[in-house]
Amino acid sequence: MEGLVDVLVVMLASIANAGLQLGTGTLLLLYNESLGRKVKKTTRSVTCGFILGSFLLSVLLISTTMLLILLINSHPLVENGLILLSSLAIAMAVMVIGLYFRRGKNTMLWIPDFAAKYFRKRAGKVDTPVEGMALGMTTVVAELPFSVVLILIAANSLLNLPQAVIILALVGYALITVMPLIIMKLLIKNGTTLAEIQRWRVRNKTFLRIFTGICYIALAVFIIAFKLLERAQ
Amino acid sequence: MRLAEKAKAKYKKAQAVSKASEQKARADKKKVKFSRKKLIDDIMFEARVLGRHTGSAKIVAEKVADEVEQWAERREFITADDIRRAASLRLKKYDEDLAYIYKNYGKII
Repeated sequence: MEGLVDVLVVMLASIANAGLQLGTGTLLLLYNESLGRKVKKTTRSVTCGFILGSFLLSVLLISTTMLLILLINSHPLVENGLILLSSLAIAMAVMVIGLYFRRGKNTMLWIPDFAAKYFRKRAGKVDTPVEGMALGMTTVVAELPFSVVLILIAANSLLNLPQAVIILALVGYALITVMPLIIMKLLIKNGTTLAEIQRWRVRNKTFLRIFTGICYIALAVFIIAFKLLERAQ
Repeated sequence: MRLAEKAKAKYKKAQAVSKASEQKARADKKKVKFSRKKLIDDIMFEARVLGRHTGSAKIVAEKVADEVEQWAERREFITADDIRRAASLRLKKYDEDLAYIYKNYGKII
């Protein structure tokens, strides 16, 4: 039962992470800039690099967090640590629902203007898959204020799993996180235009916000119900 | 008391002058000169992104540029956002997707 709860927590954290929109928006921007300037082969390799960069850095961040938790605490977080994580998750849920997107009929995010301009500028200058990978990694780092809680919760739950399952669950987390990027790549490959994708994002902006917020709240509830209350009993 | 009132009035006048000059500086920064070539290049860029045929995209871009040029001539003061809005409004009757992408450039993240 414990193992199953930890796996579910990791999956839920990855779904919440997948709901965050900076990576998706930057990939769309990359497609926009790349398709206008370069041949399709370059666009394909650059976007693959972007997705790979996001995947690799997600794996790296989780594994580093697991190591840090063990170095500081010598065992997975219990009680006080879990209370802190669940409160942070609820706070983040409120932030995601209230502040994640800016106002208006667009998908502009909370990030400062200079950061958005930087991403636009970088997306226009990406020429090689390695640069695409670097841009993917940069977006994962830029999203950290919202994803750090998810990474901490997932890393803590991964430490409770048997060793044989940890790597699988870790790779599964990163894969689910980059799934929206993979889906977008497949859609564009099959003929969906950027305009259709962007319209979909604008139409479903509220749904995405609320869905991601609910995932954060569900994570907090999971931790409180299955870790804290069970331990108290 | 008179000195205090004088100082207050002087301070208010200085604030008003600095606010007006700040607004003028902001307006000067945003004011742009309409460039037909730049507009056509931007529309062609977005048309390439959407995979539109180059020939038809060029015809549409030139028609839209003509209309926006006539619109811009009637105006004393235009910003880059004004040109983008005017162009996307006129693009809509030729190609809705192209108009949408052109209008929302820079509003994805």
